[in-house]
Amino acid sequence: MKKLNIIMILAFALTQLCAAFPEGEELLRKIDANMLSNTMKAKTTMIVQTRRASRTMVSNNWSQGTDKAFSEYTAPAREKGTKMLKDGDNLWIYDPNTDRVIQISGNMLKQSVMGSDLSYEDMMEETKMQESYAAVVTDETVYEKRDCWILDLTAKKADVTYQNVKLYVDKERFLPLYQELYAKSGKLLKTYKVQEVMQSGQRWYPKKVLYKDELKSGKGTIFIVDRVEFDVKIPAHIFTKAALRK
Amino acid sequence: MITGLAFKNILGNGWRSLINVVILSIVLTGMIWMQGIYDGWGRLARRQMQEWEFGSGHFVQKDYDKYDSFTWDDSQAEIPSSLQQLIKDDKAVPILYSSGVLYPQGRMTPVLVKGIPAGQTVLSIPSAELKETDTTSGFVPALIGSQMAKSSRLQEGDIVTLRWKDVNGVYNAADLIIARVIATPVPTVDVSQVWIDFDRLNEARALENNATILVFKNKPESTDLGADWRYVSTDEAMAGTDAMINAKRAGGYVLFTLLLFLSMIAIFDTQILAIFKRRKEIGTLIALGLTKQQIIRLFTLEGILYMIMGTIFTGTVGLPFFYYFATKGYPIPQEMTGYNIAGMSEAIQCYYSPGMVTTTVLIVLAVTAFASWLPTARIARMKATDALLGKV
Amino acid sequence: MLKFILKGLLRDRSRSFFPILIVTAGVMVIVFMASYLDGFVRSMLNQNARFETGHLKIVTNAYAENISQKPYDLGFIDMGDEMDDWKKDFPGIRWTPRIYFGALLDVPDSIGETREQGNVFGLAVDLKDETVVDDFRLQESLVRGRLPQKPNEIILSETLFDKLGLALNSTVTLLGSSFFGAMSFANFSVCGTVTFGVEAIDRSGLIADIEDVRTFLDMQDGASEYFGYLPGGEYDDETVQNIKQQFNAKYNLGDEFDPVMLALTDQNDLGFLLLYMKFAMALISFVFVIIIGIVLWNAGLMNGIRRYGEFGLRLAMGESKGHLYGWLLIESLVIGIIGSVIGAALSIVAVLYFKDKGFNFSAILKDTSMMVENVIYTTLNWKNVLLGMLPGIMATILGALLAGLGIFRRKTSQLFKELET
Repeated sequence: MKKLNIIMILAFALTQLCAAFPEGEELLRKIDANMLSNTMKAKTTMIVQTRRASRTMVSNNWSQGTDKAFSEYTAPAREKGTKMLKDGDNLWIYDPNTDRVIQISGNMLKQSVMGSDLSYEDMMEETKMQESYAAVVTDETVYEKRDCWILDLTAKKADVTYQNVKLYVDKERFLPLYQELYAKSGKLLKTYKVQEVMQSGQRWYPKKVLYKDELKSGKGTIFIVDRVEFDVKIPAHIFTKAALRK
Repeated sequence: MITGLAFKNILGNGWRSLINVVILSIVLTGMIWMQGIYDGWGRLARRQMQEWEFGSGHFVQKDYDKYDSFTWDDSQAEIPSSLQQLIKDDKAVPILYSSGVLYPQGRMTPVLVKGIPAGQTVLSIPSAELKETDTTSGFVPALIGSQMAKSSRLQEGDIVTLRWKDVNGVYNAADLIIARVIATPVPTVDVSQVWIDFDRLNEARALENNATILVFKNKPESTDLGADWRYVSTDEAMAGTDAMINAKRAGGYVLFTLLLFLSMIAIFDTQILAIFKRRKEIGTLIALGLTKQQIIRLFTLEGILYMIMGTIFTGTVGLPFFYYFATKGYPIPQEMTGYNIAGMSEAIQCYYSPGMVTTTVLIVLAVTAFASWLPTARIARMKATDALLGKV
Repeated sequence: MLKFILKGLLRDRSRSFFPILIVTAGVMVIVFMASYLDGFVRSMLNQNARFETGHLKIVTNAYAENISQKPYDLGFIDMGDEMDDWKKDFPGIRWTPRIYFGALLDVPDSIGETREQGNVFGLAVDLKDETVVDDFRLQESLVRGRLPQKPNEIILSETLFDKLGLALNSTVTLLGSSFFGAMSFANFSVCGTVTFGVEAIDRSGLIADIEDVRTFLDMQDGASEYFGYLPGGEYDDETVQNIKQQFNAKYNLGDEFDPVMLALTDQNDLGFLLLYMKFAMALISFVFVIIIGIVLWNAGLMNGIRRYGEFGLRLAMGESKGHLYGWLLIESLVIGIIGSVIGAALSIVAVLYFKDKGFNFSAILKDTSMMVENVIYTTLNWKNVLLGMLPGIMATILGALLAGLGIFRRKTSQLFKELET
């Protein structure tokens, strides 16, 4: 009898333990719900730190789902008026000085955006995490004074750029505060560190992020979201090539 | 009769004839040797490129363009099944190309990654070093050339990260360990390149049994391997190098001309004096019934005989010299291997093709004949009586 | 006595004409050959200096570490004041800036969208400097069109021009990365095409004026590399090494973007190649001089020997052997000098001709391209002239010396008898 009791207590404790870690899939769904929206409008600042100097670029951005996005750079003067349009797998850039719309495709997408640690491809990768990854919560930790779940993500499809990702997700806010992006071999390629957060309605969004290529020596690239609005009405013509020239 | 006479006259001149023979011999040797160097260089470059790069013939995937790095990731195709046996017998070797980024000392360096089977011996690349002997370390053995090592500041034993994308667009990266720095004389397997094992690269790129280039040990029987592959002959592959060597050869032609001119001077001088010295003899010969034409022929023949004797002299006394450079070769110092041309790291073994030697001998012969004939114009103007009296 | 000798030479053609002719020819060959070989080495140096290395080159320390990749973002910017300092410190040096860069070339269709794209490897030089245009032989390598004269005009390689289906004066857009990493766009008009002569560059080569590229890449008053050339245009390693030492001591203080100067011989292993070639050339010259020496000595000898009869007569007439011998030597000296002088003069004419026109091997190779120099120009160097004249004089005398010994060895009667033969 005593033995049975012990077994039952242990079993109960075990179920409680497992219940303590949430379902990975469920967490991903919540992250997507927090981070993604039907439409988004934001003003962002990107600070690129290269060996020679630090450059600050300001842009206005609109996006619809994960397929369409439009950006217009407003500062500095050299970049002012440059526009980018992403539609599915296509990317076009418009430069007002030359009045040219140039398509960036194929291997050009591997090039870095404005000298940052992101490539055009990285920038174009906006998918629902749920669709691309299978997730398992493996641990918990405190990151930047916030309680976080540690998730291990494994790509579901063969064409997901980063096949393995490690995520620290804020337990309360479902906001990824830290990401490690790995190569198929397990080598750490890039990191994504949230340094400041902000609230917009019910959502918590990263305000300041340091994005770094871990293979390169360098200081990385800083993204700052100055202002963001979710699920606003965005006219359809914004996501057309005609809008690039306006 | 005239030939016999000419010969006797030459022998009669003693050591003075010998000097002429030696001079002609030196000129001939110089010309043959210089051409031998260029021909040898061309052959060496060809042999080296065959040994290190394209065997006796190779096929490239139809989309591959060696100057357009953006084609490298898409230019691979499955190895035709008809070649599997050849590859197994080590008579052909598949090589897969992939573009990648190397990170030596944290700097991004675009490279061309080449996957070659570790067990192959078709090409001189020491691919045996690519066999993974220690699977626990997680490091992938890689080979780089000495120029690549220099520009990326890597040495044997160094660990360096390589990043690439597979065919699905997925990032992958691995830590390579430089198993060996190859001293290859062929810069096109060295500069901005990294060699790893064929199967490893296929796996890394989520491919199976794909290659960009198929190199054959012996000339392939058929130049048709299907729509995916294009045949490149050795001549086509060597076109650029051959053109460059020929360009250098052209510079040597001026020296040839000067050497020929030298031999002309020597013979001309000899004949002028000979004619003067033997004017009484000429007069006698004319009086005895020889025509002027015959006498002109006699002197011209002497010049030609000098040349023939010079050739024999070259062939005998010069033989050790030619032999030495044909076997030991003309050494190229280590520092010059940095030049982006094949054929500049080993000693260049002179190659004396029968055609080249014959042509050179004939050219010198023609020039010598001309130079000995030229002064004979005086003979045509000689009056036999004046000649006899020595009044010319 | 000299007048008598000269009279004798002038009157007896067999004594003078042919010996002088032989000496002239021999001296000509040596002087010309030495000038040609010098020209060969110079050609090689010049080609490197023009395209790759300059006589001296200034780059940043960071650039020098990665020099094979030519990373312009590690180059110079805002160099106005510094350049003035350099010019003051080293007057007489001709400086010229250069930028090597890569970009995407986009060809628009009728509505301004992408029709064709290609990667280009660009070279930006000061096209307003005529010396630079000459250095690159741009005018000669033009296949069609003309050189840039207005802002934002570029030249493409003929192969690329053809591949992209362009026409002269087509507008193309370059998309690149600025000095600071930002995206850079600029429209250019293709005003001409060239053949570079190196296949890799012919696939994707572009030449533009440096001011246009400075604007394009946001490199105000900057350059990847500064090439310097010595006054007079001839490379002198000692001078350059001195300048390099002084420059680096003053300006290279260790910061990664401080300037560092490299000499021509520091680059591309040229130092060694130069040494090696000089050695090879010296060897060839030596062989030639030996051969000519033998020929001339032989000629001098023959000349003496055939006059034994004359000597016999003169001895019989009472001339002393010593006097006769001395006479023979002076005569051969005169022949040697006259022949050498004429030979040297003729070869100088030839050298000067080829100094200007050069040996053009393009005809043999059917190839006129920018980077493959198929023309060798001879150099006039008084050292070479002396190199030729010396054996011309010495060998002739040596021949006479030896021939003259016969005077002492034979009996007068024997010499006299030879008069009859």
